Amino acid sequence: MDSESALTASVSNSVPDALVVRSLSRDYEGHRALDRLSFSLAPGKILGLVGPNGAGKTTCLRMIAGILPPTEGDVLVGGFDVEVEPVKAKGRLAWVPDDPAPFETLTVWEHLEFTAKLYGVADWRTRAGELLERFELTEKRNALGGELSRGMRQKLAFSCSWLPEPDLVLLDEPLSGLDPRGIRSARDAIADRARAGSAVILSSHLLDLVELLADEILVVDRGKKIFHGSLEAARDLRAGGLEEVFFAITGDGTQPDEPGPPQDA
Amino acid sequence: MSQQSKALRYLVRAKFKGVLRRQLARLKTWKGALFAFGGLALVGLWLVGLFIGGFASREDVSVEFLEMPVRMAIMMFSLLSLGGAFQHRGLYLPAEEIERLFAAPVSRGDLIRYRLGVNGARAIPGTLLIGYFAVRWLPDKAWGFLAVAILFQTLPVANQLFAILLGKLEASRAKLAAKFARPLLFLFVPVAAGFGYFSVAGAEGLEIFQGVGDMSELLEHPILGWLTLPAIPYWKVMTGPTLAVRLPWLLVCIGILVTFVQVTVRLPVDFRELSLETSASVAQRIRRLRSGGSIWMRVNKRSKDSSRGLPLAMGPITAIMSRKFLAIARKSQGALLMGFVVLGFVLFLAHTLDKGEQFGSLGPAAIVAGVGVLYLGSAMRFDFRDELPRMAQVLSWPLSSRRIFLATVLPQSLLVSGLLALAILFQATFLTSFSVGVFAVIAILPMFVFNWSALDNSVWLIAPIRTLPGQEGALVHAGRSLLIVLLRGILSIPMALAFALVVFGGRALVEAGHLGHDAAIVLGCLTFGALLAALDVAWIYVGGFCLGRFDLARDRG
Repeated sequence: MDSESALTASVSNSVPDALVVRSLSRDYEGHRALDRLSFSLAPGKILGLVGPNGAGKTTCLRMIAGILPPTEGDVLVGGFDVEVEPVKAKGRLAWVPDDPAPFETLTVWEHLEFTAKLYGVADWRTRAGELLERFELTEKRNALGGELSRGMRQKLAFSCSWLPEPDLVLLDEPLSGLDPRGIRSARDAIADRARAGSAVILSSHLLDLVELLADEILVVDRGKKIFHGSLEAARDLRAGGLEEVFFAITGDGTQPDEPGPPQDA
Repeated sequence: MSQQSKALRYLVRAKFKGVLRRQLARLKTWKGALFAFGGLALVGLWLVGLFIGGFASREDVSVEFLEMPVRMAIMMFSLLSLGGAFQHRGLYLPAEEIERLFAAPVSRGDLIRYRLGVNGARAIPGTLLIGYFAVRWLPDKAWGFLAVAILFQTLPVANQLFAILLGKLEASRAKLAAKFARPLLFLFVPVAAGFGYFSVAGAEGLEIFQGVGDMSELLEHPILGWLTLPAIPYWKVMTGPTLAVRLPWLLVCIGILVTFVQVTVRLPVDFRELSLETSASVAQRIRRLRSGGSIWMRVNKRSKDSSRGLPLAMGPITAIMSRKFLAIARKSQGALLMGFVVLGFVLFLAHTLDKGEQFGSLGPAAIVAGVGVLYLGSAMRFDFRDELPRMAQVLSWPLSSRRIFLATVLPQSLLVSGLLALAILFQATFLTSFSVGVFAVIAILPMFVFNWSALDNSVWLIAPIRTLPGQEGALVHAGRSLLIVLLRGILSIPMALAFALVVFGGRALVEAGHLGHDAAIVLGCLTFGALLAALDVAWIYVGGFCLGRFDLARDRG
């Protein structure tokens, strides 16, 4: 199945997609960082976005979040084009970057209050308290952003992203810097978020995590989609875990070959 | 007002509250309290002095005389503001805001209005300072201040408008125009600044500028009149004879401000990519500034492999020094350029202050050494300031803190000494003449520069000033900076005493007929050099002690 037919199959599904990405491309100074990437994601599904360093994962997520303008292609979040109706589209998504930078001079609670105002969350206080509890930040409620450790910054970013209950969550290496307890809590929170109906894109090098959480995986290499499908379909390509599949698809790093044609399953 | 706009207003309020909270948190330690209250007192004294002296009106200067310097000053501020747009292309947002706000459901207009609001607030201290000068010089103080206030609220908007347009220009086929706009602008600004400075200084009747020449003819040149035409509305508001004259011009100024805001908010330009680039480059500069380093000290662009290095053998001290020299070699482009600009200024100043009438070429050479060490030391910071991100590593090196201090400060001292020696040789060749005094000054330069660098670094190790990410200005450090200047002044007393001892001793010997002029200079320099060497050793101990006490755990913001 080629990428366009995969997209069509998904779009024709009775449940409208939370995210539709069509032929998304990005050029940097003559270099194509992302090349005609197309996929869609239904509500409640978790997509594992994997690929070697420099594959274009973060560029892809930044374009979906509307942070970076695409050179070509469209991104629809909840049916709204991120470039045409950015306020409506962005109101439905949450973005957690790989190294969240909180405001140095705002307290943890003020971060949540700001987020609530920004996304127009009604009765946010109770929910914010629950999120602080869930991400073990209750004791840090009055700590300044600049005083937080790497892991706590990550937890604060989760809390702020979860507060508006977004339809689409974009997570770029979400577990970096977290302690074992934090990892478990974040892992459960991601699964719960999907169960609550959010579509989640999880970009990570932790293949075990992706294997545990993701319903589908999307493998990109040097800006091109080289695999998109369910985990089961991925395992059909190569016996073993996702790690074996990943190396089978992307090569072991010693081969400088161009990535092969995209495989949709 | 949209919900997002309210959220952004909340953000501004919360950030301001947070800055106050952090300043208060500093008071919890005795050192923090000392620097906060001491700094506050110094800034207060400075401002009080400024205002007490300032409210004496300058009625002796006619409005006609002031017109062109003021119009030029307005144009200079405008060009400086537009020049700043090259550093902040697109819509500048601090690193911690940019991805969050770009990914948030905030309209483009709200985002730009938010940034314009922040920039307007940042312009308030400048408005007060320049407004103070307007109050001092202009006949109608209230109108003078009003015109300055409107101008200083318009400039950040013009800067933002230009920054966004520049992004558009770069993205389009007009790249060539954008490429040439910057050098042209930067060429014009110093020329305009020079004109403005000399004309105002001439009006002040400062003695040192008497030799510069009469600027009045130049100021009446029609080209200058044309170039400063955009400043006329503000000038008219400042000095119009009646309300009927001022009011229309005031409306023009307000109209310019409102138009600029509306155009900026509505410009159909996608600034996201440039903004991300700008934010990343500003974040990098802030990282350099965090350690008190110079923005000029970025790594050179390398066209070929620079694996050739300096010898790293011979022991730990030489290893540290070699590493420093490598850093100097690889970050030299911007720093050296800035260094030569500073030296040009120092040479000009020395030439203006002393043309060698009293002490021959010794006087100007001494001025270059004395003033140059202060300015070059600030421009080139290949010392501990450059090491702040690696202080944990530095402290773990298997060497006594005294040795680490010596090896870290010495390369910077040698670099500054070398540059100052070059400047003195240039001065002796083209401006004064060679004499025993010139060579004597050059001979003691390394000891002298090391003394200042060691003192400066010791103070920094005790109380480093850091620019923090997200900080919208350096005003929060103003008091502390003043206090540190004072502290460095106090700590220079031993060096000043040694100098005074040598000067008075030498003069006494010459007057008593025991020594000739040249012999006195040689002996004086030798003695001063020996005293400096002794002080240098003392500073190595003090600096080592300060390094040993450097506390990595504390937030040094």
